[in-house]
Amino acid sequence: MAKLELIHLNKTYTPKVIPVKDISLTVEDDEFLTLLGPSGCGKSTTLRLIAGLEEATRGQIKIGGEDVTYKRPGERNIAMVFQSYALYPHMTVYENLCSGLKLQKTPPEEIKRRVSDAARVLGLDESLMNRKPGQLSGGQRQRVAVGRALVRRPHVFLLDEPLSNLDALLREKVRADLKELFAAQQVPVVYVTHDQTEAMTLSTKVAVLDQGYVQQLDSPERIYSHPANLFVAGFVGSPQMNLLTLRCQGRNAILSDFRINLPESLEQVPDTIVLGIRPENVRIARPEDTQIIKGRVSLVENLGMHYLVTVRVQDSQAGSLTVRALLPTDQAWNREELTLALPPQNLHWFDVQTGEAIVKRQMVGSKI
Amino acid sequence: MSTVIQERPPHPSPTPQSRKSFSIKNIFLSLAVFLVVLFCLAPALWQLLTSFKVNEDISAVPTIYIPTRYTLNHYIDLFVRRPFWRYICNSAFVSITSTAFSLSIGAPAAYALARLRPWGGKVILAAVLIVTLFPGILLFLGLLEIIQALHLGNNYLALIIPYTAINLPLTILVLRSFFEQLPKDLEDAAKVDGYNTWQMLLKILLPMTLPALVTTGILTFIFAWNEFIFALTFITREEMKTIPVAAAQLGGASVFEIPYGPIAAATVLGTLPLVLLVLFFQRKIVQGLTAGAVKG
Repeated sequence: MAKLELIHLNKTYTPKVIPVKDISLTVEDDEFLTLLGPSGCGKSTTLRLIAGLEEATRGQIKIGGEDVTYKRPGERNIAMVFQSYALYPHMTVYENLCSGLKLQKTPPEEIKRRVSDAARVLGLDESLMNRKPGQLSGGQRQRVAVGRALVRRPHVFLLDEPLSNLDALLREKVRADLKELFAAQQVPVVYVTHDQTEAMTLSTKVAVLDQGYVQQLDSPERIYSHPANLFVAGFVGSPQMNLLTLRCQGRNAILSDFRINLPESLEQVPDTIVLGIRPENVRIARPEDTQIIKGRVSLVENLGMHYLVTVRVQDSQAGSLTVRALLPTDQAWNREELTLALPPQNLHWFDVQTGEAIVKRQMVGSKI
Repeated sequence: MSTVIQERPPHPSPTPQSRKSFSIKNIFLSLAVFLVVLFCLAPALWQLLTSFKVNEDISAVPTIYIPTRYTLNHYIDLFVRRPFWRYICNSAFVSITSTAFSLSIGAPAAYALARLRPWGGKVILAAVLIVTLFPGILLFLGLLEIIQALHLGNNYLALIIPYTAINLPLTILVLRSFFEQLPKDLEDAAKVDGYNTWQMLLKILLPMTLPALVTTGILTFIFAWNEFIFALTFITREEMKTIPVAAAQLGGASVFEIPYGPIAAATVLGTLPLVLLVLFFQRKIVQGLTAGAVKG
């Protein structure tokens, strides 16, 4: 119905404060795009630019092919769900839900129909309609906020960290509900969050933002399995990926006494290289493993289903390097000294200067 | 499992001394509060009693504090011999109008200063603050010249406009700080819904600032109601006078007689509407109007 396009968007407040430096992306009709990033990366500002609550310094915003860069929020046919819900406190739930429609002079029967549709989908009872927001629970208020967006039948849905004020249990349930809900709407959705789990589970595409630039725009699976640079690798994935700066010698990276094969696609071997491997991919070495490291266990954290083990590997030149591994709880292992395997297919390599990922040649027939 | 029953030492019961000191402190506190309240309310109480006292009791020596005889003559006197009802209406008209003007000009101004951040906003704010520092009496002579030049003597506008102007700084400052602490998200939500600035102000923000509006409105009203000097000088026609002026000009039967009784009655009648107003709106001030709109 309406494609959202951001073309070289820039927002400059002062020469020193530029929250959005250059962002270009496209969101198609039934895509769910998450803007993911740490605080201050520009994701909320980007959302506000799309909404029209901030004016872009440079660049274009198009909705459904129409240039809306200089249009007011009310004219862009967008709907937004705020982190704090922002329900009008002096109006009843019903009035909150239909306030936008009333301004657009929608006929009353249409308003009634849309409100009851949204209420049904969100599980909002009739009895809630006449209450004021102050008399609702947090979860109910959140649903009314989402309902207010739904009834507008906009061209684009914008959500600004809508789950962050809910408790953990409720968050999981609402996350699942939201996914179902927006899948049925078939309208582009832009979702802002700093929570990776929300980004990975809800979206069809994730844009990882940092310092006002898009670091990587990809599906959640590829963001996880093929991070484009050091920042994405370190940001996505919990516990954090092990990132080790290693010296290179010949066709190997040196980690204390151990040699790790460098990928074949690397033509010129640099002096140092960054090796990345996720703790969940590190496992206890089996006899047939070739790439192994050995070290002393310095910390064991029990995460319930796994142990997060910190292993110190002594290196003659670099001091000691720490490698964290996620080990299952049902396996016995030496609590003092551990030999870990680093499976080559799970290794990520990054350039030390640029932080860019070094593309590995994929093995024929291997799963991505 | 056998439990060892231990001999517990008896709990020290609250000593009679501590209980006594607690109540002595209480008595002192109550006494202190009573004295302070009495000190503050004494003049008002005196006037109230005087308005009901018979003339002989008013001027009796030694002073009679609580009279045994009561009379309503002073009140009747006010309405029969002088057009006191007229004065009440005049005061009401001037006060209500200047309050309405003050709020309807002050609220948009405060909103503009708080949210729209116009160029020179800081200068305007500083100017508003400085103007508050002016004593009214300094403005008085200048205003007199202006009023005479504009032939506004004996016109209600001669009072309404100065009262509005004098109250605007307070209104703007109070409402501005109130607007600033309103959650910004609500305005964002309103903009996304399609409200323009005026609609947002009227339909969304003002209902939420009702407590501030009522408070500043009451303050403005009280000032306008009690104001004396401007009302005395700019209005000389008898039927247009306001209550403070009328009460001050109550004369007795002869030039030697000060009609304490009717003056007291006039004072009581003049204060009564204010007291009623504050009581009425105290119930109406809706606490926690914004509770529940914004989470956290």
